[in-house]
Amino acid sequence: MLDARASHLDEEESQVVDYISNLPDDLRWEILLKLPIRELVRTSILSTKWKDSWISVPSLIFEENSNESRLIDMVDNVLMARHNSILQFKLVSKYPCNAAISRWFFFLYANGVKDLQLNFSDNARCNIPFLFFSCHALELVNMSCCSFNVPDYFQGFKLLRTLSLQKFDLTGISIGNLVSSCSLLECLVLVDFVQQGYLHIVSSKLRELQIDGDFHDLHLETPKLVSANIYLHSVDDQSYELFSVAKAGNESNLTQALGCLHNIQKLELDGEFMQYLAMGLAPKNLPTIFNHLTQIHITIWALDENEIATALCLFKSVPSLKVLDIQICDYWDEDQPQVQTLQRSESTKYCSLFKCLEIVNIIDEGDPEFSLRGAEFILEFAEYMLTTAPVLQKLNFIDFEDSMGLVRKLECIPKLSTKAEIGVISTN
Amino acid sequence: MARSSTENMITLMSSDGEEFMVTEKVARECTTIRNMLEDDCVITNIPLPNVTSDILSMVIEYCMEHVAAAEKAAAETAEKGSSSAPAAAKANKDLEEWDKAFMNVDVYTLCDLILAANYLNVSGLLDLTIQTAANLIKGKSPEQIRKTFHIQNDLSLEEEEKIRSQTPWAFEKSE
Repeated sequence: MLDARASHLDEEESQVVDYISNLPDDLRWEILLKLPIRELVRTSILSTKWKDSWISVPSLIFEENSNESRLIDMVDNVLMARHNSILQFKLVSKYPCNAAISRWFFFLYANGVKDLQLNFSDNARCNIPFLFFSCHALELVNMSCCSFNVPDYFQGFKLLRTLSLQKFDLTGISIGNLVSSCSLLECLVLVDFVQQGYLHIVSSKLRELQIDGDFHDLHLETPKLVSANIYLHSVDDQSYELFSVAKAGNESNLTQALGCLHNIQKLELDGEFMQYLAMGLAPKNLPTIFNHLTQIHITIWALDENEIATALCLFKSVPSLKVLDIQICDYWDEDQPQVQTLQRSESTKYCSLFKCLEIVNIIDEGDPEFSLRGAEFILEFAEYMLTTAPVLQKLNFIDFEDSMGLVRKLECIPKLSTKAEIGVISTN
Repeated sequence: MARSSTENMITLMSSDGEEFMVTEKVARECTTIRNMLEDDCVITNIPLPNVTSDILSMVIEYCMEHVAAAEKAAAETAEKGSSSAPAAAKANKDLEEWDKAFMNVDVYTLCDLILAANYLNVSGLLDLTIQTAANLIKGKSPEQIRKTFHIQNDLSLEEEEKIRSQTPWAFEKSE
């Protein structure tokens, strides 16, 4: 190798050979793509060859700390200098830039932008202009702190594969209609939003879903979904009765929300979503068997009988479950009625419930102290797992104040799986 | 590793006529070669007229390391039933360290590797080399960049002044 290098060029000659400037344009652009905007623009004075290179890079990324007017001047300046297409445009700003956003969209629309990321900070919202809804080349949209008013002529983003909206307001169209109008959508993220009433997601190609917000009723018709992460904030009983239970009739929330997910592999149900699922009558069995589902993360209230029954109903439909994370919430209220325990309930009939289960993580949600009943539930749950899961490898207590106490109490329990071990993990 | 003797071997020939015997698995790391093999599965000798022997040997070294790392991870997963997160994180870190050491080359070799990774379509190596080149530009003054890559400044003072005046904000001291 050394020989080859030596014969390549002699020392003196190598001083003047400029390899990087002679790379093909597309490879030089790849390098320029990795530079922050200021450094990208500064390459214009390296040499004649580099003078206009930055103008041709198909991607513009602004992550600036400048004040709003300087930032606007900078983006204007860059967009005016461009004469090549802009395929990716990313702006991270503390300020909503409402004074300039319309004219920027004129450039983005004209350039056929494919990948658009606008991330503003809290407090103010950026008002996204109508022209956004005519950017038909869009494949990826990631926006935070934006307000959308959808024009009635909007026909959907026909090429959009990823839609991620955080802290947003939407008027003129429901979230459900926005999603179903994007027929190629594969990944959907909706975070920090309020939807009064029904949230109905219909999408034939969707594979990944994250919902984290305040909504009243959820219906997923997403047969290709592989991974779902759903976090519900603040259940307000009155509006739930209005929107959900009263409407649902015979169908349970559990069946309605998750019943169509034939291909799901990973499911995370957080916040108060289990409380929502447990409203009304829990079905004895779900109509669907989740054959591909191997990982579940749920948050449940230790004292809520309906939530526990609903969780068991879900587990019954998950024959291949390998990893279960169960996050336990509790509250001090000794007046709560005695709950039916796992041991005493009919669920003990389902000894094969966890026949593939390998790892259980029982996680303390962060309460300073568990009520007696809550602590009892945790022990019962752990005991149930140890005595019924045949291939269990690990049962971990995560972030419990008195993990060792729990471990001691479980030491003499006969374990069904010979490999089962009890572990203690602290993440703080 | 013992299995490798029974695996299909492929000969890659560099532009200067040197031959490199590699396993099919290693050769398949190059998408360009993988496509050739899928078009014609009996092919055993592939001439690569755009890659010199010194660069080709480095590309092969990279592919072998990454194939070995992937095989090791797969073997561990198979043995333990499920992958252990800390072990996987450590393996990733080791591979990153290896990549970093592998990128300790002069700018000529780096540019040749970019061209070869692009031609052979080795996406991991292309990302690595492009990022390394970008890192050599980041945080440097134009004069330092010219020196690093031996770029001749053929702009007149007037031209340079004109370019600066078009995007003055880029040349101010950053806030």
